[in-house]
Amino acid sequence: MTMQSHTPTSSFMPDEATFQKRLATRNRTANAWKGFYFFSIGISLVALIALFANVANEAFGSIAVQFEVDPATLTADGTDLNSLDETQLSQILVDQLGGRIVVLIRDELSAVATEDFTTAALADVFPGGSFPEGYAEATIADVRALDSEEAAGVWRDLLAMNVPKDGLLNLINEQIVGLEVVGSWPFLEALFKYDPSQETVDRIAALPTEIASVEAELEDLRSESGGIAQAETALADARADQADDETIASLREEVRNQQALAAELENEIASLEDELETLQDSSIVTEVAANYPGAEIIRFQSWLDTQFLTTQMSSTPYEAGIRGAILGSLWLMAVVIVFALPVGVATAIYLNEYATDNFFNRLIETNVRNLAGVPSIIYGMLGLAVFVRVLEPFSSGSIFGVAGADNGRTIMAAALTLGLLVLPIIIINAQEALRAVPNALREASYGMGATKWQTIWKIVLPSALPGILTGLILSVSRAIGETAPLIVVGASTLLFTDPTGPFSKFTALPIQIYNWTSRPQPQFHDIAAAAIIVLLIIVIALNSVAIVLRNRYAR
Amino acid sequence: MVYAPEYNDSQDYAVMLENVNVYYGDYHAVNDVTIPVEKGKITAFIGPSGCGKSTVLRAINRMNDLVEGARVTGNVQYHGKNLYDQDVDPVEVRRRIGMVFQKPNPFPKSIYENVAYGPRLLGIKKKGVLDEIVEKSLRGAALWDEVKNDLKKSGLALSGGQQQRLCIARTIAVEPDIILMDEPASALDPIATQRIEQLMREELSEYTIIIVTHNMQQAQRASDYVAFFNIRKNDDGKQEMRWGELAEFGETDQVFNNPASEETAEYIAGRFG
Repeated sequence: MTMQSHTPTSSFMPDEATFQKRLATRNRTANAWKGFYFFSIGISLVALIALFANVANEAFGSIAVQFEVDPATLTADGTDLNSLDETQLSQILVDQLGGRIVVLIRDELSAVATEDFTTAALADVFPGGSFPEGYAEATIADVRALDSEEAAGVWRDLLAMNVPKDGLLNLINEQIVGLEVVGSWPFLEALFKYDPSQETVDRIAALPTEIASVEAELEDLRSESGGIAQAETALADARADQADDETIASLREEVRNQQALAAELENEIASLEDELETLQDSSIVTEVAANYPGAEIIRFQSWLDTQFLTTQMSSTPYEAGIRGAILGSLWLMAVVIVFALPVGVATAIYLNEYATDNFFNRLIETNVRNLAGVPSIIYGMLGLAVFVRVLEPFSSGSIFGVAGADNGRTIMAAALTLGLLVLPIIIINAQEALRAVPNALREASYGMGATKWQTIWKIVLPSALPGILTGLILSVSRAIGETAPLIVVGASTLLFTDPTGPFSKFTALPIQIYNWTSRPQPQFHDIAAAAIIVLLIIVIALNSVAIVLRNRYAR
Repeated sequence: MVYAPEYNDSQDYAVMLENVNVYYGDYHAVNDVTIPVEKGKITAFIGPSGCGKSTVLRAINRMNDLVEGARVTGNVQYHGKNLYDQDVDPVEVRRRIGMVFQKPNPFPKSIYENVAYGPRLLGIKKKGVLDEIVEKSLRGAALWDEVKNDLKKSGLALSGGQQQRLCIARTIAVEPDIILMDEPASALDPIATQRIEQLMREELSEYTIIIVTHNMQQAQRASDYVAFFNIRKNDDGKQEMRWGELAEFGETDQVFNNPASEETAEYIAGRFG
């Protein structure tokens, strides 16, 4: 076919030139849009990577630790603690802790309840133990009443007889020696800013001498026999001699020169000190050496370790853990699921399977969808007003006779609040899942003589289950990261005990993170980052389960 | 209707439709249908799209109850009782009058569970009894030999034709009086279609079957009686109304070879619909 046949007769078939031009325009537009899409993906990827990098950067890195009390100073002659016997170790504990030794026994060693402690006999405090002669039946209060030296002896013997050597060493480490984190540096600095170059080391070593020599020079200049004083004396003498103007002017000039020299030396010292400081700050090793001599550097310290996961909250970052927060979050999720899943699914079944299309039901459905978008803090206000205050007897557990029921700021109140928060999401997802069940299956079931209840229970729900579970998991992963409602409902921020049930006080991961990030000490930011990683891992794991579920049952 | 079938009460009818009308809200979908369905025979409903044949079929086991606004008047006589009487339980009706649908719709369960679903609804729990019913029903639907080794496999893993036979097995597992088939072969290939027809003739020969079909040959080959439905329109110049009506009912040979009305002859010859 020749080109002629394409030309002018039909407007649908443009000539070659027009065609090429249009093609070029079309390709340009297409490429521009494609570029825009790539750009958009790039932005989200960069944002995600920045998020993870930022968190990881803080959660891992270098720390400098030093002992609050140097172990070597605990013994008179600096002997190693490990070579001491039980009595000597106990003596150190008693000497160092003084009256606090009783508190230590009560909190760490005693077998009786705190409230009975003072009136308990030593034999009950250390059941099955051995005791200093004649003291087995004495109570703690009795021992306290002794004069201090005698009491100290009893405490020492008590510890030495009942606590093994390892235990005593641990107690000394925890209670007296104590590790203190004096500085922390993010991961990137640990990676790239750790060691100084040889040049820097030499320079840092040389600088103090250099500064000292300039200072000496300045000192000379300013001393009584120094240049400034001489010049000033000469000037004063000349004035007293009523020397001619020329001489005075030259002498005055000399004084000025000497003062300028001193200023110059001062400047030199300042700039050398600046240089020293800059050099010291240029690497972690030099910074620690300058600011915390005696501190030990751990180059790669992960704030996120098993100790962090399994220990209790503490007011010192190095010892703080998130066991209580993890348990609190798990309890919350459990109660949320128990409450929100049946209610949500039942609502969805009603709306999807029973509700006729009338004004009232449309109103409900529209409202459910709107509720899903209500800011979470508003649910927090609701939870505070209803679950914490109005339903206090229920949420504190006092109507169930729960021991130690105090106020309504419990796991129960918070979980019900979070349950309300995720209820619309569960309903909407369950409705989608129910709607996706083909009507043919319902008809087939009815056609077999099944009732509506049987059809829903045996055919519709099992088919919709993966979708419902996916929705549930997604809403749980939303609830687990919610902070605002928990703050309003009143989660504890500094809680040293584990939650024991739905009616106990609690803290949760996001609360702990929020609390730590708002503290001034940088070490708290580091453990906050570690807790964020834990939270992210939980959320990502939950979402992965949801994806796997959806894919497995998608067929 | 051109041909009003003669029938008397002494004759053994499985179900008897008398002056049945179906409405969807205000819309009068099917007008005045009277069909005697003979026991143990195959009755085919044929007609162009929109003539109401499926609607009438669904009126027989009260499946129309599930459609909002649907209403049936007239008499659907079954065991001496009008199925639309106040005291009739539609669930019970559907247990006695089973249904096979146009698209194979096995439950997303195993083959075994698909067949055992109906018996379980009836309260049968004993494994031995269920096993027996499942085997009997699958044999009845000529599927046993193909699936006996993978009864645990999902019903959805079968081919289209096998799925439809599974649906038939599922239906006969509760031993219904009547099986309604709503274009059971329209989604199947010719070979699968042939198997279904063969099944109706042989394994299911004891059952009363009512089948809706678009396929003239199928109706001619497979059925004993044919009910031909056609579309009626009003021409009074106002808003156009369409509804379905029974145009002719009779023995298959008679309807196909010697139709009583001109419109039946035209439809069978393929001139419309």
